[in-house]
Amino acid sequence: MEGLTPVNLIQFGTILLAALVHATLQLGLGALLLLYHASLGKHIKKKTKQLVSNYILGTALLIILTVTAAAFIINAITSSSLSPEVLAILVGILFMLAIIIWFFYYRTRRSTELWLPKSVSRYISNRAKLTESNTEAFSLGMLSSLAEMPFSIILMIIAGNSIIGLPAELQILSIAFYSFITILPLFILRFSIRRGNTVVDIQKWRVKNKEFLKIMTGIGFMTLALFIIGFRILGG
Amino acid sequence: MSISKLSKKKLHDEIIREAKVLNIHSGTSELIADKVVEKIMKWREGRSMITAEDLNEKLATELEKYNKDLAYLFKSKDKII
Repeated sequence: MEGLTPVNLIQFGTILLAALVHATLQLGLGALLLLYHASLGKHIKKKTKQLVSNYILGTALLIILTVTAAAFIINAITSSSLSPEVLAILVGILFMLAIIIWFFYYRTRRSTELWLPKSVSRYISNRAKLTESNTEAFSLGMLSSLAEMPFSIILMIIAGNSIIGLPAELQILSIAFYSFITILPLFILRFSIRRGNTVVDIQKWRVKNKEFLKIMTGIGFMTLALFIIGFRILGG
Repeated sequence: MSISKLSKKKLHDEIIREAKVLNIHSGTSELIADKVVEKIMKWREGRSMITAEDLNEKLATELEKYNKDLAYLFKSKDKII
């Protein structure tokens, strides 16, 4: 595309990396699996499909709004993008989150129970069980995205910061791109269920691979941090 | 969380509902539910109070004899997130 500079490519790289790391987080996927579990037992398949579509829409909308808000706020405060000093603080937080992910993301070794307070995870589980309408499924999607914020907000801030530096015509595309990558695992889960896998198959897969996923997420956070150090802080 | 009253019908319906999640044939799930509920009610006798975890674990143990996936659903309740 005409007008794309090496700086733009670095910004794209940052957005892609942040989106990939965000996609590895497990709460949204777990909540969707709960929704499938609850819905397949009570509703016809068509209804379940509608609920799942609305759930994914709710998740995507919150991500789009948060990334857009981050970009807007950064631009309003700084008139350009974040300074190297602020980026250094964000890098520190990324390293810290990587360590937290490795040691505290999952509660136990034998299940995929997450770091969430029990009351919050029970609330999300109950909401998933009681979801009957498309609006409720949409809200559940937004709720699970919101609950993941302690880990995802930093990724969305970094993505928002990179989006500001892109040409105007690419900014909206980048926001949509970020959101699409982040919700891709939800589509993969949906496709997997449509192909005939059961919630048990998927949950067993999650339990079997959770250590690997945890390590990859931590590495993802670290890689993003190093990328920012290399290309945004030291690279100027 | 403890359960003081265990409803036979509620338990039966729950097993049927979970079986539906796994696309188990309705006739098969009725048979499984009848047998398992009977075992659970016998186990429940003499116990003044049971916890939800105890119940799910016992259900998983009994269901394992008929359908491993159905047992897994009860074993992994409240452990997905």
